[in-house]
Amino acid sequence: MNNDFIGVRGESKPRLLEVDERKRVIQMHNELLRYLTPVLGEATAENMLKHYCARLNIPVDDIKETDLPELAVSMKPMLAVWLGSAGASRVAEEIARLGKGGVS
Amino acid sequence: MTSQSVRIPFIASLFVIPAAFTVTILVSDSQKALEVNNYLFAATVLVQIVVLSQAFAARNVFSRVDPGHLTWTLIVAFLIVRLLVEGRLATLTFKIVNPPPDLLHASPLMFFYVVALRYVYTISDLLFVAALITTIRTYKSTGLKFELLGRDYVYMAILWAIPVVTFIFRSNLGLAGIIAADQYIATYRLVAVFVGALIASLCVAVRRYALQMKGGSIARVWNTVVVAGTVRAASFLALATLSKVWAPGARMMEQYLLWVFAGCWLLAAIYQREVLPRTGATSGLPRFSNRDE
Repeated sequence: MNNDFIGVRGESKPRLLEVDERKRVIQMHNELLRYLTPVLGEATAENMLKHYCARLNIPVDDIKETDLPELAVSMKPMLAVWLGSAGASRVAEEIARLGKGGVS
Repeated sequence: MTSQSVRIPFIASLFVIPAAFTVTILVSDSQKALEVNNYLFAATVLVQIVVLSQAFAARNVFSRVDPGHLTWTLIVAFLIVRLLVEGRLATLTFKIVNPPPDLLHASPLMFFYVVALRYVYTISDLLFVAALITTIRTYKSTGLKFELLGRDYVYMAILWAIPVVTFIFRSNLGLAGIIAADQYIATYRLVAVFVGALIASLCVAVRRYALQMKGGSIARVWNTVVVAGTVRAASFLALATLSKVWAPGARMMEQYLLWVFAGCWLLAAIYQREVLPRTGATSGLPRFSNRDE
């Protein structure tokens, strides 16, 4: 059974929203990794995300759209090490915009 | 200039050059093969000029406050110093400057030009060492887990066997070279092999950190630099071990490895410039516009 459609009446709406939210959170984590991996590599992208989530007290598997700007700003110095300040700023800006339907 | 436009011709050259040497030796004599070797040397110098322009572009990716700026400044300095001394070697190879057969009776200026200035290669190598040290420090400064493994120290120990082997075969060191060997060249080559072992050891560390990234375009830059550093060290080993057995072969092998060295540096500099655009392209997101094209 598809979990998205559990409970059609009564409790259905809140649970449906909860499932949607959960999916979005997982999607956000994956999207960030998908975005950083081609540059930083799989391990560094994952470690960096864990490192900054821990520093900002954000559960790594519960990154929300609203966390992205803060996460992006805190990641900037480390990104600058490899990408240069200009590159890091650009990547940070794009990370901050990831939750808003991608980069335009 | 893109990595794609360089990679394919470079890989093709890795097969074409040994084939050209083999054919020349088979259909002609070793003198002709050494002439081919000189052309390869000239081509290597030209590639290094292009590498320098690409290294400047890679350096421009970083602002003065970025650690990468210092690393690429050191790389640019290494390439400039190396090119200067390659110019000296070109004047000797193509007989623009003709030193006397016995350097003991040469003028002080000629002696300085032929014997002392070759140590400028060592200075350039030390700049490369400094660039590798700043790279290692950069990795460490991130606070992420980049660590050497036990086997890396074993690899380093093996690499330090190269200068030991070279020292054992030191009587070979003066036998071959792109220009007529003199009695002072063995000392220089021994020094160069020691610096080469230092470069290769640092390359092991950088390679480990790049491996621990598990892919990505930054790891690709440093993996390519590691290959360049390793073949540079290997070129001296080839010269030391092959000179006595087959002098023209030793010279060709040395020059071939230096060609690989120049090609890898060219790719590394281009890869550094391409680090960001590649992100957008592979993630399906719009491309970054950081290219200076």
